[in-house]
Amino acid sequence: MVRHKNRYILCEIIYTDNKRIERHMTDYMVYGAVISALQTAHGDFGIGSLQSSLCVKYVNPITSMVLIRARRGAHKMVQSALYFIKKIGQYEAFFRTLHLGGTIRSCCKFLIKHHKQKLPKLLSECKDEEERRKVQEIISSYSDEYKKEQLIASF
Amino acid sequence: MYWLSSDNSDTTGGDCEKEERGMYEKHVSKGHLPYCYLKVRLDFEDDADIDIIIFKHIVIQAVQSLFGEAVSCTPIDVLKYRQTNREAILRVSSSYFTKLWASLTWYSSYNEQSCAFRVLQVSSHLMALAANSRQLSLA
Repeated sequence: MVRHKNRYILCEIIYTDNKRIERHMTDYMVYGAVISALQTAHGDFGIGSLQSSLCVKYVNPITSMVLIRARRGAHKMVQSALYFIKKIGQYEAFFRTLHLGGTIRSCCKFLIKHHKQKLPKLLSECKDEEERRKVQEIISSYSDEYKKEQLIASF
Repeated sequence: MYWLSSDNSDTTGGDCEKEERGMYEKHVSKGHLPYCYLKVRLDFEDDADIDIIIFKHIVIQAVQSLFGEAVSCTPIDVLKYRQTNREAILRVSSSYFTKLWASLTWYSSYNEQSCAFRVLQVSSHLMALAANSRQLSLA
């Protein structure tokens, strides 16, 4: 037996209107946008070589994160097609690739790290004291965890 | 393109090497030539009037439908076109040669008229298309 290898592309959806509101985004809408971009960029050959493996594994409308699976080797065609997407469903938006991983697990690890890095920026955007306190709590909790891990690793 | 080299400096081994020198020649390939040329004919079931601009459009359309914009942006030149039997000589960069050939093979209809490309001759030298050994008649 041979291992069937995949590549997972972790992307962020950036809406052109730049408003922070929750939107209705489904995996089907993302899949449609990717497949039509693939058709124009790589034609029938691109569709044919990726149809069995292309799949949108994870969509988070709140954080606007998307995980797309593609066959290894042909994933470069998906990556190049992603640049040409300007509209997803009814929204004017585009993708920003954050990470390319071999497993969902590695992408998940990256995503957690990415969100942790984003937290201090969120702190500066807080409007009232309540929000600020909550974010500070989260930051301190994971920084404690990180210190503990470092301590265990040093022994 | 082949280059002949009499210098065997990369082989090791004293006197023995000197004797062997001259017994064989080292050929260094400089890779493929920059262009490939195809002589193609566009066959229709019924007769159709196709001029050179439409012919080029058909070729581009064929590449675009199979390989998309990523390949159809490559320069494909129609060097010579004869409208009476819709025969043409195409030139492409040799890295896109197989892709062009594949998409010509897949093309099947223009304006809901069924048609087909016949690839008559293929060469990396334009001069080779001047004569076709299959059409020689021994009188």
